[in-house]
Amino acid sequence: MTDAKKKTTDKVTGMVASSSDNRFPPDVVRQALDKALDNLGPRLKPVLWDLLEKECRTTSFRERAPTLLQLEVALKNVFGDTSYIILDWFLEELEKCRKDES
Amino acid sequence: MSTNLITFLRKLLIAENNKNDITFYQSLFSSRNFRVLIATDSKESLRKYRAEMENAVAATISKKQIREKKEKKGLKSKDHFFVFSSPVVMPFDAVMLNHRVSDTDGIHVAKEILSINPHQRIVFVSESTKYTTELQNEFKEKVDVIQKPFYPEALIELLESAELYRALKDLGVNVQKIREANLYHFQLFDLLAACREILRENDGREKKDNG
Repeated sequence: MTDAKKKTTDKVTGMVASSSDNRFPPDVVRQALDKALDNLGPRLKPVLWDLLEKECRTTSFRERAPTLLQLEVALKNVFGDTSYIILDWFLEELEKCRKDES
Repeated sequence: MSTNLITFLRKLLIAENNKNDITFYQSLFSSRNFRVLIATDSKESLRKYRAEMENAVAATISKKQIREKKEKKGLKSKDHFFVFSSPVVMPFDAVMLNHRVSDTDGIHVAKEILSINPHQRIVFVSESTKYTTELQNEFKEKVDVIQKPFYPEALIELLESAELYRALKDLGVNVQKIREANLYHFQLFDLLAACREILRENDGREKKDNG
């Protein structure tokens, strides 16, 4: 395994503390998700956004941002084992937003 | 290749007993970010595969490491600690098998390797259309086949999963971000399949709504 792959594996495992640990304001979560989904392109993004809202059982992410656990489960339902790629992007954006805020 | 793309070292196991072909592969891959292990018969192929598999398993995150990570984050043992995906154990990016690996048929070696690791990518180098058909019938989509004669670039493209990246790009996906994730071939395949399924279901819903 290359160093880069080890790094990827480390990033994949255990980045989120707990299901109730939703430390970010809804606007920040939505912004991070919006940016993460940009990577999937203009065709997939709106479809996926709707799907995730449905999976998270919320009428709109504008009203209620998903918790990290909800998002993880929703992405897993949609993408299966490759869901962590999108979660990885999301957490990367969340971290950027957090840094911007502080 | 664009200089701003991240390139990762790829690891190959090549089962080949023809000296000219071995020289060709070594020369082709040495300048292309591939690390190559050569095996000249089926026993050596399987021995090397098993040894690298054991190394890969040992390098994978263990329960002890998860416990340590929890402690580092100040979490209690009962706290959730999400593992988004089981770490993938993949000793080689691809195993290349020749039609005949000295003492046995390549199909036998492929079956053994797939029984050890069903996700392992296997690329057969076929010397005849008859053998290509035989492989396709035997393995369906589980293995890739490249038939001789081939251009060296065609083999590189196949090993770098160029076709899957092109398909993702056609869907509008940011391929550079995907490359940075350094996915294995089967993960790219699954991602592409999931993206296509999402769009297909959406198209079906739209048609239903409009009809």
